[in-house]
Amino acid sequence: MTTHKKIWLYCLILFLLIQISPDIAKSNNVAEKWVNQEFKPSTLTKKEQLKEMRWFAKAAKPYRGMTIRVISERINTHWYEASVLAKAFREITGINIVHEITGEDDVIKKIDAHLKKGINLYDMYINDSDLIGTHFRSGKVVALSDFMKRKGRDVTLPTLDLKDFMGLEFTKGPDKKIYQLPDQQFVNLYWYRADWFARPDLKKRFKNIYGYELNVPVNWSAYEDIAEFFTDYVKRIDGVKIYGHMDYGKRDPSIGWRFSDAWLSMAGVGDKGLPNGLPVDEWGIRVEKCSPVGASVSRGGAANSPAAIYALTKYDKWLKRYAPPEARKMNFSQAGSVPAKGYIAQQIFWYSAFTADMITPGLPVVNKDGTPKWRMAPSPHGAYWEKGMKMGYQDAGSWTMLRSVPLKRRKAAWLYAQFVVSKTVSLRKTIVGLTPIRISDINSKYMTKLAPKLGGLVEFYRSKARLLWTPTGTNVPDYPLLSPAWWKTVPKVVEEGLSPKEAMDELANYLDDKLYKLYRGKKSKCGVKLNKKRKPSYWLNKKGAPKQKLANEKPKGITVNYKKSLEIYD
Amino acid sequence: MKKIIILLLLLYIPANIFAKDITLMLSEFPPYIEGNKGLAIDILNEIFKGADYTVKTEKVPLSRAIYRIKRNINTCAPIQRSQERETLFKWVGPILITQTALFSRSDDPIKIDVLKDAFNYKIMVARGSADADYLKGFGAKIEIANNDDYNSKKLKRKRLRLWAADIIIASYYAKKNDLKIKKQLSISTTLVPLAFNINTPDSIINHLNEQLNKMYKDGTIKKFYDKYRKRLNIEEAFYFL
Repeated sequence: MTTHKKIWLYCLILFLLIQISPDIAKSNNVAEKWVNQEFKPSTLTKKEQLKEMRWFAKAAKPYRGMTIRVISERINTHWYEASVLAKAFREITGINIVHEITGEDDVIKKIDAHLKKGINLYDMYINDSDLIGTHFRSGKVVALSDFMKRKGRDVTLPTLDLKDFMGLEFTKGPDKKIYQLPDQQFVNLYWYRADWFARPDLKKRFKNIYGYELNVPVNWSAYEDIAEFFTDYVKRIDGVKIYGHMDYGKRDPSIGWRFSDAWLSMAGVGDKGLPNGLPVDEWGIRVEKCSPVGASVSRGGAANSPAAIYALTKYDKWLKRYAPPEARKMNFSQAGSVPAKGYIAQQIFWYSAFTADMITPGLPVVNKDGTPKWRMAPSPHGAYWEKGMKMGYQDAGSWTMLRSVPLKRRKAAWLYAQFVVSKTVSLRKTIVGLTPIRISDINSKYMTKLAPKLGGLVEFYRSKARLLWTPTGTNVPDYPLLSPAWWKTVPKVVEEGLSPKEAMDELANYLDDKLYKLYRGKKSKCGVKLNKKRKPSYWLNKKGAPKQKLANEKPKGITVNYKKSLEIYD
Repeated sequence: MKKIIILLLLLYIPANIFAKDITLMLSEFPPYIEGNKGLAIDILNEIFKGADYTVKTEKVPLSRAIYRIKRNINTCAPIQRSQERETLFKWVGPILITQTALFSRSDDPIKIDVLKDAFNYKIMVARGSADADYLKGFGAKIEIANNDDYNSKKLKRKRLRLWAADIIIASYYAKKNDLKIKKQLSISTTLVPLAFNINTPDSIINHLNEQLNKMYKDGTIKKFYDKYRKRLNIEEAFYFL
């Protein structure tokens, strides 16, 4: 190269540096502002955080000025994302974010309309992983594990660290591909008034009546005894009428979630297997290889099996006998705030997403020093439950990408998705919303410090019990189509006096009918192949679910102390 | 005895349970429903075209429409679907997809990046709009006016700086009242279906849903939206089609 050419080249490089550097400096300053003011504490050092933010700024360059639309359900975690993280992302990357927040039911309606009517409503969805069975079969949802390796490689965060996500198993299809990336998780746990359970007078009285300690119930027999004890024997504490159980019974989609989420799994309706029972899951749907073949016992499912009838019988009995009378006419939102009012002794399962609302100073369930009077602990299991089965429900709101969205928009949305779960921001987000997703966050020193104020949330997520609480799995081939089955049938027991057997028969038939509709529809991978009907005894006499009716559905009650309740799953 | 009871029950059932006439109740909602014209009217006419039943249209206020759908079989109206309403009706939809956004005057330097930024201001909303509850639920301060015509006039007179409205309706009233507006932020998207009486036969519901699916897939819906996009000069609307 001649000297003349070299000079020109140096000039060109100098010119480019002058052009680029203010941009870089500006972006670095903005990132530093957010790291210093908002993104703390973090499990990363400040240097590591800034490196991560620089990567986002650089990767986002081709997408600057775009407006990306995403949607999620309405919980504190997503409000933090929509109001703080979306703004930070915009300032750091130059990509505008419209992060809508709505009810989970509406999110499902919208993703369903997007998938089935081909309307590109959003660039990505934060959608519960309960739809994993729908997504991997649809052929319309991008397998993120493929995307990260191929089309989205240049926009995939090198420090994403997938192994650090606690709920990644929930978002995989039977093909082991990752279809969704967890954004927030919360769990359904047993909730109880630790202060009342510790009172010597109540402990003595309970032991005299039932012959064992008043403590955290391990099985439904103990839960039922405790419910009876507080509602029928204790009756009043400090002059206030109290109840040993809380639930709800109004015909509403939320009664459906309560059942499809947790009741049947806790009762032990399905088979062994994690995250979900195989071949029969907690909805009572049987799969062969990966194809659903039926929900009713006559087709090999367990939705109307003796265990399912047992679950509904207990729900109905406890609601009517031990819960406040108004609970029968309540839905999820109305019932959710009742335990905080201070007259409920225990609840068989309660959503940990409401932890922040339950530790508000001044509530009757919070001590003067800000520590809760209550604890959350692993929920008790029903008579049909066996070791190796899931124990309850965990919600994993997860980033979901649809194929119909143009690639450029998907890439920009993927950057935002990774930003809100990145290690730079995730510990701060966990503290705000209390919906942890990363192992590194839950094991951090900061969470140790916070643990006494969170009523057992940290202890649960640090124990192996967290692996036994799982979302709906891959046996459910079309969640939006099948989920109305629950609210259309279950409330008939409470409102219309249908017997639990009649209601579960109706539920199983509804599910079979819809499975038949899918069987007749477009063929897909792991598509429905309905079993022919047989006598129920054919299936009940085989090993596993559907299980035969137990001679004794109320074995002796078992309770353990709080510490032990977490250890028994290790 | 059994036969007599069955006969009595049959006599008790309203005659129109077997009828295939549908009563469609509509409320004036310009520019979606404006007399016998509007985007919603175009879409509804197409859904019912070729159907094996006659459709009778009535103009009634929304609250009256909801009351009547609950009681009368084969009646329907476009209403917002919600968790509370889910179990009360059968649904065909979405027939419309609407978007709500925050607007300011185009000459106002105000800058709203995320919804929380708007909480420093009072936001104008129309009475009866679901946006009022939505915004209040997040802690926003709102001021309710009788309708968006009035809100657009208040914005023009600089009474307040932010107006939450459906983007088509905002564009319609801005044009009508000679007001230049700037969209600050989209805040929500709503799928509007037709709600039917809960006892309407599934055959009708399934048929209409299939008809609607076809219209989305063959571009019919897009054609209608494009017509209004041009007419109202709102290029950014209907990005989803």
